Formats: sequence, C-alpha cells, structure tokens
Amino acid sequence: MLTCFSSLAQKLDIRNSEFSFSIGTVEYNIEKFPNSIDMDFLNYSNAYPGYFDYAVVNFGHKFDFLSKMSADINLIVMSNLVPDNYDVSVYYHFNKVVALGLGSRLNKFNISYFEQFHLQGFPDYYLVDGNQRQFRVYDLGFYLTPMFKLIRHERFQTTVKFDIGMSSFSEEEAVFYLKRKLSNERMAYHYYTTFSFQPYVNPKLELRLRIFNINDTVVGLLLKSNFFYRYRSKNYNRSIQQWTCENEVYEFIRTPKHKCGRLEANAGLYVKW
Amino acid sequence: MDKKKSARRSLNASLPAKVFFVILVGVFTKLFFSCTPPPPGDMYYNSIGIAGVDNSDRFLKRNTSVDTLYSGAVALNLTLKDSTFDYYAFNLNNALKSVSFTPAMALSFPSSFIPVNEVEEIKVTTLFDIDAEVRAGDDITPLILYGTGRNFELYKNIGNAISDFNKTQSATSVSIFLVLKRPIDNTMAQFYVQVFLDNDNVLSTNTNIFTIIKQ
Repeated sequence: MLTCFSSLAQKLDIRNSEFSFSIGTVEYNIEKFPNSIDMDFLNYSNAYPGYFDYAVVNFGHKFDFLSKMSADINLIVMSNLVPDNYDVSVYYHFNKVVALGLGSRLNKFNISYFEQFHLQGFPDYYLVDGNQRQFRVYDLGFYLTPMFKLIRHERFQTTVKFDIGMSSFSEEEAVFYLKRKLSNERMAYHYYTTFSFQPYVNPKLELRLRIFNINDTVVGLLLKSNFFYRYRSKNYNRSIQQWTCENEVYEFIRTPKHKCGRLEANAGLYVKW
Repeated sequence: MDKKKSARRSLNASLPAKVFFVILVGVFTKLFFSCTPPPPGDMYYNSIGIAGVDNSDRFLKRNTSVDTLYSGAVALNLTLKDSTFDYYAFNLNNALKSVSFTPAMALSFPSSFIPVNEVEEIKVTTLFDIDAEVRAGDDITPLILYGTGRNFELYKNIGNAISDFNKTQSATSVSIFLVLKRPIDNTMAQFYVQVFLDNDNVLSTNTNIFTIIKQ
C-alpha cells in the first residue's frame, strides 16, 4: 500500500507539502423571522448553542503536484470531536500569483428546539412527544474559486480566495403527534426537508508568517479566516393527518429565504518542507 | 461366541451407572420437548366487557374506568375474551410440565391463541341523544374510530379493529379502544355495543350511563 502510494506520489511529482493545525472559533448569523402558519426550520438554527459549539479545530494538508497544480485539504472538527466537516480544493496556477480552483465543502450546524413551533402555534393541543428535537444538518457545497497570492515574501505570505458555489442542506425528517386537549382528536405532522442547491459566496484569507526553519523544513504561524454568506431557505414536504392515516393533506412548503452568515477565524502552526 | 461374550461384558455396567444413564436419557428427553414453544391454542370469544376511559389528557389513561367523560373525549375500552381459557391454559401448562421442563428463556415466551369464531361486525348504538341530529337508538358506528391505546399513532377505522380481533392473539382477552369523533351535546350518554361473530353468536353489552362534561 505504502509502495503504491509512494509510486503514485512520484508520478504526481508531489512537492512543497505543508501540514497545518489551527484552532479557532466560528460564529453563525442566521436571520430569524417571526413564526408564520408554516414551520420554518431555519428560525431554529443554532438555538441556545453551548460554549463549545463555537470552537473549531482545523487539520490542513497542502501540496503542489504535476507542474502547475496544487491541492488544499482541510478536515474540520467541531464540538462533537468528529472530523465530519471538510473543505477540499485543487488549483491550476496560471502564474505565481493567480490560480483557479475547484472544490467541495461540507459544514454542519444544528437546528434545535423546533418542537417549540408546535407548542407555541397550537396552544389547544398537547405535543404527545415532549422531547427536545434537533437536526444535525450537513451543508454540502461545490465551488469555483479564484486564488490570489498577494504577498509572497520569504517570511510572510498572504493568500486570498473567493469561493463561488452552490450548496444544499441534507434531507431531514421529523414527525409530530398532536392531541387536542379535552378531546379525542389526534393529528400527525410529517416533515420531509428537500435537497436543493442554492448559491453562496465564501471569501477566504490566509496569512503565513515564518517563525524558524531547520534545513529545508519551515515552521510558521498560520492565520486563517473565511466568511460564508448566502440567502437560504429550507423547504420541505409536509403531510398532515387528522384523526386517521387516511385523511392526509400533502403539501410542498416553500419557506422564506434567510440571510445566512458564517464567520470563521483560526490561528495555528504550519510545517512546510 | 467370543463376540457375544464381549458384548455382554460391555453392557455389564454397575447399577449406579445404569440409574445415572436412565436419568440422563430422561433429562435430555425433557430438555428436547422444552425447546419447542407451545403451539397456539384455540380461543372462543364468549365474553364482552366495556368501560369508559379518560382520553381528555395528553395520553389515553388505558387502565382507568370512569363514569364521567368530557363531551369531546368520549372513549370506551372494549374487551373480548374467552372466559374458559384461564382454566385451559393452566391445565395445558401442567400437562407440558409432566413431559418437559417449563421453557427457560431470557424473556417469558409469549403464548399465542387463535380465535376460532371470528368477529364479523362491531355495532355501536347510542341510547341517549348525542345532539340534534344523532338521536337515541341511532347506529353511531360510522362515528366511531378504533385506537390500540398506543400514543404515537393515529386512530384507525373500525374495520381494522375487526381484523385485529381476528388475528393470532398473545393473551386470552383482547382490548381495544373506541373513540367517538363527534362531541356530545347532552349531559348523559350511554352506548349499546354488539359484536357479531361468524358462528351467528352476538356478544352485546350496555355501557354505564356516563355523565358528560361540556367544554
């Protein structure tokens, strides 16, 4: 296996490898609207976050390959300590300053306490299952990104990227059983969120400051930041059943678009050889 | 000749060994029969019971029996059973114990019973006026829905209750819940419930007279 990988690396001419480790913080800013007659899941995004929900750990690996190509692989760990977020891209370098990349990213966030919609919106009904509800929503995106190496000093480098892409939330499903107070009436609300790609932008800034080097190995300080922004809705199919399963009303619900921002800032170290 | 002698010699075990061998054969025979779950028994619905249950709260209070109901939450617990079955089950169990061990399992093995005479129809009649449209003596079966008593499901039509009564049962008595869709606009209510079986028998009973609390 190692031999295979080694021979593949030789064929690809992998060079200028860099490993990085950084710790940072992430802040979500998702616009909230007043409750309407239909559930809007994004109104419950990142409700009551815990302290560590803002923490983010980033493991990065960059390398150049072939003659004008480079790759940037980032594995992102959040508060649940599972490396289930990523940002992977490959670049074609036109010259030493400008490159064009193609990539994919996966970020997750939580939609929590959305049972409150039924508790507040249906005061004449009991929510049969009173437990707190939560979706762990994955946001899968694909992007095109120009990259500019603005400062290429021996001790200090600055890179700017501007991702433009399309992303979609993962599909989720939720069921709520309602029982009318002092009545036999029962209802069931089934929600099935849909997969739909919507555009986004994500400018990124990376600063590298060399601290020291041992022979050809460079150790330095890495500062990274990115701001993810878009207008986003989480549409769904909904079925309402009243009294029995036979009485089903099925609808596609289009929810309003929310301004969604996600600011991330990291600081750490890189090792390059 | 030598062969016969050597065969006799090989069977010539001591008495305790022979007794031990016989006990061992007996134990394995019992163990063999114990491994088989008892076959489903036949049951005959011959008894009917009905009681009011409180369904006004978040959960149906399935083990309660009430005589006061909210006008919109009229629910009945209908039970059909084979009243002879307890005696039969007791003796079946004893008979099994004589030839086998009682099955030893992590969980008790559920017995199963097949209703021989199947339910063909359930009919509910109101003995008091429900409102201006539904009068005493009217058949209100179309206004009745069936619930299993589980909280995380909706009601079913009464036809499902019939098929549930007729499937293989895990107990000698089978209970279902009947709920009235229409609120009662009266201070009293009473119902007459008939269960028609395929052997032309009809099990029937009256409920208590319920006091109705209007909302």
